[in-house]
Amino acid sequence: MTIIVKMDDGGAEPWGIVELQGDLESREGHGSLQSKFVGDLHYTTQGGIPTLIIGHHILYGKAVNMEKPYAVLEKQTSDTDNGVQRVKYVVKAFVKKKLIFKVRPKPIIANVPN
Amino acid sequence: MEVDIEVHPEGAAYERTLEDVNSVINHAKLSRADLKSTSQVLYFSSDFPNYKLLECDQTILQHLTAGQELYIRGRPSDRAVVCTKDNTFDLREAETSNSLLLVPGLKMVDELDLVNNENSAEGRIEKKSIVGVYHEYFELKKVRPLLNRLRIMLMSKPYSGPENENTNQEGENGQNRDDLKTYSFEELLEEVQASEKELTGFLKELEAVEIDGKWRILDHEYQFRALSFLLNFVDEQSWPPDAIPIGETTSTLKGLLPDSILYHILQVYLVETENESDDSDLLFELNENKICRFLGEALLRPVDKFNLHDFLQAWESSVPSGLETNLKQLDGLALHDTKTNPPVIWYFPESKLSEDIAERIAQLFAERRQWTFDEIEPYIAPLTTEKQTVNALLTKHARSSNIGGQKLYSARHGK
Repeated sequence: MTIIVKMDDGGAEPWGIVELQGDLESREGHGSLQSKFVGDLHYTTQGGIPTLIIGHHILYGKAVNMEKPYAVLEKQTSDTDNGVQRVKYVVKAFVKKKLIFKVRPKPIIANVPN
Repeated sequence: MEVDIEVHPEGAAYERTLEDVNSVINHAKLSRADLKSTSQVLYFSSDFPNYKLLECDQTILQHLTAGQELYIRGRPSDRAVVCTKDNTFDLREAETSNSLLLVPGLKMVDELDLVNNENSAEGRIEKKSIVGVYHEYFELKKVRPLLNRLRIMLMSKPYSGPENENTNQEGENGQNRDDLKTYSFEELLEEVQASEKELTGFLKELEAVEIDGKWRILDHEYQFRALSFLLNFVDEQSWPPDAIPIGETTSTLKGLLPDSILYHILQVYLVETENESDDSDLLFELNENKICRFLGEALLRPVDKFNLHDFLQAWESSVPSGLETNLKQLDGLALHDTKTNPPVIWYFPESKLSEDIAERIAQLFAERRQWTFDEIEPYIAPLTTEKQTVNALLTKHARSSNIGGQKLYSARHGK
């Protein structure tokens, strides 16, 4: 059996990855992550340092050009004439750059008047 | 290390505003002026499509970008491999303890500067979706494809002449029964985990021939008979082994063998020279190595052990005059021992050994305790890759010792 991997007809988009140490956990526990707000990503004017604020934590990271980029593959199935399902993968996007946050997050100490 | 996501009471309906962003910047004791004005606000997407991440080196990347396809090949029970037209790669899953958040359209800092005046104090937000959190990706590692399955598939129905092709036997679906055991190039690709280029190379190495659209190897006896037609004709004409007129040979032998077989035999056992005969027929020469090897194998295959002296005589007299036999021609086919009385030679074909290096090494040292490099090399060479030479494989899997000025290889854990 042969499964074909090819570019999406519309071409592949450039996507990115935000890489965090450990796992992201919702305070609700094992609730679903879907549609939830995660955090704000800024870059500093000096040096363009990626700065991520998630909840009460601030993380400083760095941008990395990936030596071996990722192709993002989407599985597609189609029915052939004789009713057999045919599987193929299309390359939706390439990830050539990522932001890595590997320094321990710093807590933000709220200092709100009142 | 874990980072909590603060869950806003409104949950999914929550829309991050510029005010929210700026307010957190203040809480964090950062200054808006020290940050580029675009902030990307990250949300989890409403659904996580089941994407796979495939790590690509520059070659694969260029291959895909140029619109070329990759092929995932094999039977459902096989380890998966990925092929380009030329190469084969092992496909394996790699894990990372980090979380990879996949973000379509994530902007790097240099991409921000292209679009906006990023030093304005205003601030603006761009919403980005995280479409998945990944801890796995797939890696590709170039491998040497395995040849044994192809050999087994081709051996299931060797070609032994047109009279043995049961063209009239219909199977259940009206399909010729032999069709089930013979394969076209495309059918072989479906089963053999190799690229088109590698499969073409393997078919040549196995001396396979395409007959009526199917790739076949010749039955040994049939091949012997076909080769004999050629050698006998050359002998009858008293042509020297390096001056065989190809046109005359072809037209004479045409009646004796089906065309595809005749051309195959001529292609395998003759080599073109730059000379022509007086009546401008192209001259070919006998392929000494291949002919001697084949005839030597034909003598050795049916017997257990052969007296070396007797074998060398029988072999010498079986080859056409003008060709010289040499034990080197039997590399990877036979072993001989001159220390026994009398010296002996026996059939020990490389093709019967395992394609797993550790298993093959065990088989080799079970057959013979100590090997010189020249003896063992033909049995290891087929398993080498760009990175692993015969020497590297032997260093890893065998023990070498110097006995009487000669380097000998033996089993690592031998007595």
